[in-house]
Amino acid sequence: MLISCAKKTYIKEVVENKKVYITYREIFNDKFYNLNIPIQFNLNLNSSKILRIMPYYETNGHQMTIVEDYIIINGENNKEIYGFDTFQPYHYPKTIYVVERKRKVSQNEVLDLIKKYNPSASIANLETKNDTIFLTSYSKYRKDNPKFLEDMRKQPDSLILSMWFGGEDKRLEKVKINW
Amino acid sequence: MATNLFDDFESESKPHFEGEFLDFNSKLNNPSDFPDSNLNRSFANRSTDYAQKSHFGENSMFHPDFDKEQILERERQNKVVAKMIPDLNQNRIDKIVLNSNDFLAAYWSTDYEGKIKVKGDSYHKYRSSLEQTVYFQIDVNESVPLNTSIKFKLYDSDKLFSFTINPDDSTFNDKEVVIDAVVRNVNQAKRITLKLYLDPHWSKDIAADKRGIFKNGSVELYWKWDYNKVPWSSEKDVQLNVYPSEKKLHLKPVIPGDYSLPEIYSQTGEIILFAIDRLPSGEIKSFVSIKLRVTTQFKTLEDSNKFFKEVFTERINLETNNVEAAGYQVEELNHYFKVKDNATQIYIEEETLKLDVPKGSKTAVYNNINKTIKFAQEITGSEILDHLEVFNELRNFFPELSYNNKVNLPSLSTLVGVIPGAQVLAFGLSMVEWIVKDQMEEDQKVIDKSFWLQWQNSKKNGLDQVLNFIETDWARKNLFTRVNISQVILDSLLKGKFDSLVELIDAANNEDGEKKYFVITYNIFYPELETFTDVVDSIHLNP
Repeated sequence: MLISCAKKTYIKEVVENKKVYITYREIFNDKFYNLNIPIQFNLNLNSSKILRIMPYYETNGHQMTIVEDYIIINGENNKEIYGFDTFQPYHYPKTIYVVERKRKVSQNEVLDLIKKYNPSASIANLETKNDTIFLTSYSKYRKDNPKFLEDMRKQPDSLILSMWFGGEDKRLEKVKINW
Repeated sequence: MATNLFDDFESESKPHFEGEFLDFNSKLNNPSDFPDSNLNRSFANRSTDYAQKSHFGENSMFHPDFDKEQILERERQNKVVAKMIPDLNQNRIDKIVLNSNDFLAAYWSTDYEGKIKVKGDSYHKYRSSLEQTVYFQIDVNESVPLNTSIKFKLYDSDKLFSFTINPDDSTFNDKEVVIDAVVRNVNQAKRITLKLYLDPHWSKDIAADKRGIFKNGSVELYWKWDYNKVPWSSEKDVQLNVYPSEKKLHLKPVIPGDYSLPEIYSQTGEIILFAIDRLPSGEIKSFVSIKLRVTTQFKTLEDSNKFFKEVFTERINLETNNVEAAGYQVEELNHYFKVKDNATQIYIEEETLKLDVPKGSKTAVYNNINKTIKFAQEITGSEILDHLEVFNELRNFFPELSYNNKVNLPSLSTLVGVIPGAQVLAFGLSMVEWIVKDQMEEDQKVIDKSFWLQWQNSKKNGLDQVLNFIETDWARKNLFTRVNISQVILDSLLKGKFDSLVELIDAANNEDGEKKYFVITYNIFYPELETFTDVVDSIHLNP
C-alpha cells in the first residue's frame, strides 16, 4: 500500500556468530591487550548508484578516528578496509564488521577469558599485532556478559554512512547499535 | 581522418553502441553482401555502390566525388596504411597516400626515454588521466636534419564518425597547447619527444565532452604539425584518451598562483606558516617559519573591523640544519572594512584594508591566509566579492623572501623536518593552482549556510572546536574526515605521495610512530564528471 513511500534501509545491525577475539596492540608509548567485538552490519548499498560512501563511527556520542580507534572489516573476505572508495558503485560489500581498537583489557582479564572460552590458547602467543586468540561467538558473549551490555547501553554508539548519489543528493544514514 | 573506414568505424562505434548496430566486419567477410563490388565494373559504379551501401551516403569516401586514384590505391593495397600519415584535411582521404616519409611512427610513453608505453584499454590504444605527465615520441626519418625545430599543436578529436564536419578543438581550458620541439639523436636514430603535462584544468573539456552525444567523458588528444609544407597529424592511430584525474587527494593551496602552504594549526588554534626561499638557480637560500596568531575573530562585520596578529619567525639554514635566527615580534595591523553604496571593489593598502561592502551584508569571513573576504549573505555566483591576493603584505611577514622579489614555492616545515632541496621542489607543483578555483566554487556553495565561516573560526579556536565541528551533519555530508598521522606520514603527505584518502589511512595504519598530527580533509564533488577529490584542508598538532 505505502510501499513507494517506504524508506530504504541501507544499514542494519545484526548479531551473528562472528567470534570475539583478543589481540595485542603496541602503539606509540602504549602496549595493551584489546578485546575485539565485531559488530556486524548488513549493508544494502548496491541497489542504487552511490558514487561515494564515507563511514563514521561514534561511541558515547563522539566521532572516532578510523584506524586509530576502530577498524572496518569487509565481511566478504575478512580484510580490513580503509574506506569504501576502493569499491565501485554497485560493488560495495554486503557485510562489514566494525571493531573498536581501544577496548583495553588487563592481563588477568585476558587469562580469565582464555580460561573460559579457549583453554588451549596461551597468552604467550599474543606478542605481535598480528596475533589473535579467538574466544567465542558474539551472540554467546552477549549472553554471558549482561553487565558488559548494560555498560555499553549507557551511552549511544552508532555507525553513520554519508552517501553521495550524484548531483546535490547527499544523505546521512545513521544506525544506533543495539547493545 | 580515416586510414581504413571500416576499422575506424568499428573502433569508434564500439564504445558507444552495444550489440551489432552496424557490422562492417561481417559485411567485409561476407562478399555476398556487396555482390557488385568487383573490379569488373566501372570505377564510378563501384564507388557509387560503396557509397550508397555505406552509412555515409554521399559523404562516403567511396563516393565518386572523392579522388579516384586514392581509392584505387586503397583497393590495391587493401590494408591499413602507415602508422602516421600526412594530414590533408581538405580532401579527407589523403591519409591513404604516403607522400612523405619524414616521420615514421609515433607512440605515447610515460617516460622521456620512451621505454614505457602508455597503456591502453579495450577501446583505446593509449589511455591516461589528468595530472599525469606523458611523452609523445616520434621516430623521425634520416631525411630530417638533427636539431630541426618543429612546432606541434595539440588537438582534441571530436569525431565520432570519420566525416564529422565540425573542426576539432585546439583549445584546452580555452588555451592552445603548442610545443616547439627539436629532432634529437637517440641511439643513432632520430627522434622528437614532446613532454605533455595533462593539466587538471582540462576537466572542463572532459565535462563538455561528457555532455555530448555518444561521448564517454574523455578528451582524445593528437598532434598536428607542418614540415616541409606538408601537414601532418597523429590522429587516430596514436591518439591518447585522457580521463579525469585518478588522484583523489590534494593539498589545499592557500594562495592561488605559485605559492602553496598547508594550513597548520597548533592545539590552541595558532596558525603556523612555513616558507622556503629558493634562489633562481633552484638552490634553497633559507627556510622560514611563521606563527601567526589571530586574536580577534569574526562573528559579524563589525567585529571584523580590527584584528591583531602576532608573528613569529625563525630562519633555518638548510645546509647546516641550524636555526640561525629567531625573532619574535608582535605586529598590530588595523584592517578596516568600510561599507559603501554600490560597492564593487575590495582593496588593501599596506596596513589598512578598506573594503567596500554591499549594504545588507551581515556576516563576513576573513580568510587570513587567502586574504580573501567573503560574505555569508547574498552570495550568488557572480555577486561574490572576490578578493585581492596581497602578496606584498604577505611578503612583509618574511622579508627574507623579498630577495628575488618573489614569494617562492612551496612550503615544508620544521614539522616535516628539514628536507633536501630537491624534494622540496618535487613537492607541490602539480597541486598548487588548479584546485583553488574549485575550492572557491565550493566555498561559494557552502558559505551561504555560514558553515564555512564557522569552520574557519573553529580552526582558530583550537582543537576542541575543530573536533566538534567535524561531527556536525553538515561536515559529514561534506565528508570531513580526520586522520591521525605520524611525522613520517605527514612528510610523505606534504610531498604529495598519497593519491587517495584510502592510501593515506592505510599508511597511517601501518606506521607505528607517534601520531603527532592529524589532518582534516573534506570532499569536493564534481557532479558533471561523477567524480570527487578529497582536500587536505588543515593539519593540526595533536595534543
